[in-house]
Amino acid sequence: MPTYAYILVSLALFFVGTAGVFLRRNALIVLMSVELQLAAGTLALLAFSRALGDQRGHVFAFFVMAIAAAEAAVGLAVVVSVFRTRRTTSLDEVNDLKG
Amino acid sequence: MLSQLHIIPLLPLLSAAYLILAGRHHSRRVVHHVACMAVGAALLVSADAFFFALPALVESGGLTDVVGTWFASGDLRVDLALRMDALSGLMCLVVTFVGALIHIYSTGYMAHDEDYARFFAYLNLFCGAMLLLVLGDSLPVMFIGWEGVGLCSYLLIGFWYGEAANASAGKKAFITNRVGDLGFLIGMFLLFRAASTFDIPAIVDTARAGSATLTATLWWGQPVAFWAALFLFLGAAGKSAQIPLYVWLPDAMAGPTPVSALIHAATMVTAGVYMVARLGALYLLAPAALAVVAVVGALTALFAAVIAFAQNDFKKVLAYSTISQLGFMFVGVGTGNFAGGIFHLFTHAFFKAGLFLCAGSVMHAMAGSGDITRMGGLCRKLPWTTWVFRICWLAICGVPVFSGFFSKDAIVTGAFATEVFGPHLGWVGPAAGASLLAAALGTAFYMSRLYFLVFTGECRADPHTREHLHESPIEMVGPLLVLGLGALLAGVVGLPSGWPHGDLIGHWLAPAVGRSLEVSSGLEWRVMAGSTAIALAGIGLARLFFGGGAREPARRFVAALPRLVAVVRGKFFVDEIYQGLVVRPMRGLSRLLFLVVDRILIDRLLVGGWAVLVESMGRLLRLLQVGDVQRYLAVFAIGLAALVYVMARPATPSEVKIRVEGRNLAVELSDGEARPGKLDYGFDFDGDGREDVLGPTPSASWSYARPGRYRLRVRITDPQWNTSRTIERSIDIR
Repeated sequence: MPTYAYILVSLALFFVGTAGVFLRRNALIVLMSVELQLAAGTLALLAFSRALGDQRGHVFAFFVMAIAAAEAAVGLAVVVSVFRTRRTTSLDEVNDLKG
Repeated sequence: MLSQLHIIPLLPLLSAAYLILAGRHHSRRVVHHVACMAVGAALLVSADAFFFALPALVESGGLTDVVGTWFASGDLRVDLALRMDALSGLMCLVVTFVGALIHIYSTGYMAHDEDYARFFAYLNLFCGAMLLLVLGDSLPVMFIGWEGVGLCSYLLIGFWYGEAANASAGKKAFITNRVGDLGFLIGMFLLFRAASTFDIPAIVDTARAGSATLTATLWWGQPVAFWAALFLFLGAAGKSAQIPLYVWLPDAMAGPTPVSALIHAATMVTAGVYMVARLGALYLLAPAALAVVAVVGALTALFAAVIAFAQNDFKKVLAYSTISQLGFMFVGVGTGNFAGGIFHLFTHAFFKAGLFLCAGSVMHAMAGSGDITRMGGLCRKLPWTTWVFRICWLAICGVPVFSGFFSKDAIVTGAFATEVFGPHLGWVGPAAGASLLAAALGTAFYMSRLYFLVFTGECRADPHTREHLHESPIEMVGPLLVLGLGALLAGVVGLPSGWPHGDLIGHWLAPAVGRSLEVSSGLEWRVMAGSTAIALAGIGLARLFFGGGAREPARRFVAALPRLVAVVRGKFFVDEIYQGLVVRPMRGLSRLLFLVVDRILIDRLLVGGWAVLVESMGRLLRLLQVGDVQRYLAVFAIGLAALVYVMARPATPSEVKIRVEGRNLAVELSDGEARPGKLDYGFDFDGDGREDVLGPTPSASWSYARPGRYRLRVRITDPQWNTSRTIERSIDIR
């Protein structure tokens, strides 16, 4: 398969993820969308890495996975904590920063 | 010759500093020992300098002491310099001598006061400032002393600040003096502009030489010297309580009596006379200014004497008497008879300080009351005080042999004989002399009225006070006797010039203030006889009216002219007139400024306005803070995109070189910063929007067909990101 096909899939994944981050109201879904964005980035890295014959892209993919894991752990902890205090995970209702 | 003159003012100043900082922790004994010894030591040092070092140097300008440069800017250099010449040496001696006596007197008078240390600290501070004023060799140094004595005067008038009247008397003195001080400053700067120096000897030399810088016309056809002298005299009138700025001195009697004696009779109030004498050469250059001094002095002498007729407070009578005597001194210096004015200053310091200390002694005995209508017959209870008062009274009345007789005659004779005014103003001297004779009659009358009401006849005090009448303790009587002796004998330094040992003071002061006038002995004898007659007439008239208490003629006089008596007793309502003309409008203006400028402009518009502006902007910005994480994220993404776009643009070339040769144009761009990848350069030479040369080379040339003004546009593109930047220049082709 040509590289652009991978890139197209990656772009599609990224936009789905971005749309999810911006539009979904449930914090858990937003976190999952962020994972989707990161996956899109990983896919693009791998595709370019293969196309250019450069192993650095692979290495970077592992970094991204590590960061994604850390982010998921912290993000979930925050969501659980928010849910404990407010009995909700809807981002519309978590608006304490409103001036 | 250099010397250690700075010790003289430094001693009392150090003592003042110590007493202010640590005085509270010491006993009264320690406090007054420190204070009296500081002034006593200053007296010894100045006496040593005056009697042993000065006589050899008096012709060559006296002793000087330059402590250091005070400030320097451009051509201006002002030294912290002191000078003791014939005049300032004499003043220095008077200040330290009377100051030391009054310090000793105060240990008795203030013995029961709570704020013992504060009183002596201020008194020391005053002595230091006064000595700085007297010894200062340049106008700014003199001004420091001038302001310093004003401050001490304020502090000591309001010494018993618990009563509002005392505090406001202090403020009145200070504010009235500020008006005069403004005149002093203006005069000082006028002199500096003309003579480009603040040094008093240099100014005096310039004036003596009649330099054109001082005689040049300034305003209204009058020379610089006139205006400088006039403004300086305004300062002198403030400090020395002359019309129109005399109103503060009677109120200043709210302070403790030793203060009245030292500051408001013997020393500070004579600073104006001293200053005019010090700058005598300047005044001689402007006879019109001299005439103003003489006329103001004569009017003040007469006016204050008249007010003193009807005052019923012991110290108030003495205060108006001081104003009147200062008027005498100003006539002295205002008729060019500087030695005469200083001579009267010298004798006045003794007899007026003596009179005030007697007043203190009497009030001490009368439990603080100074109402002379409740006194009488005190000569039996206070013998020492009475004797000293008699001597000082006869001295101020101008009875022969006593000191005031000689000094008053020196001034009156000088006024009649003076030639400084020239033909146009020739009337000033005799007119001033005549009004001084009238004032002398008044002086003899009101002082004798004071004497007869207080010391003769039956005591009119209530029985309780009468029982407690007592002579003052030794530390008060001692200084009194010394001053009484001075009042008796001080005249010997200024006997008429024809007599053996005549006019010692005139010869002594000649190097500092110029030679005194030669007066024919005929005029001298006539004035002496006249003023003796006047003094005796005044005393006789007062005895007729008030001998042994207010008598029938006095009562009949009051009954016959009740209006006149009320006006004189009301001090011609000058305070009320000032209140209406100056104080009220000033208060009104201040209130207006407060309401309009402060309340509305500053508080409401500036301070409040900024607050409203900031608050409303905050209110607007709050609308952006919706609290929705996802919207924040969107804004963050937009910002990131903008940042990436800006960062990815090609850098501006650091230099654009444009060469025009005839109709040929060559453009060369040098890259701003090294960056990977190639850039494309598009050159549009004629401004038609089409790129005439396009390629990766950063230079191009073009030749125009016609002359004219063209617009050169270079577009730099980064093909990797498809971002670009444009440079525009306008080109003239001839």
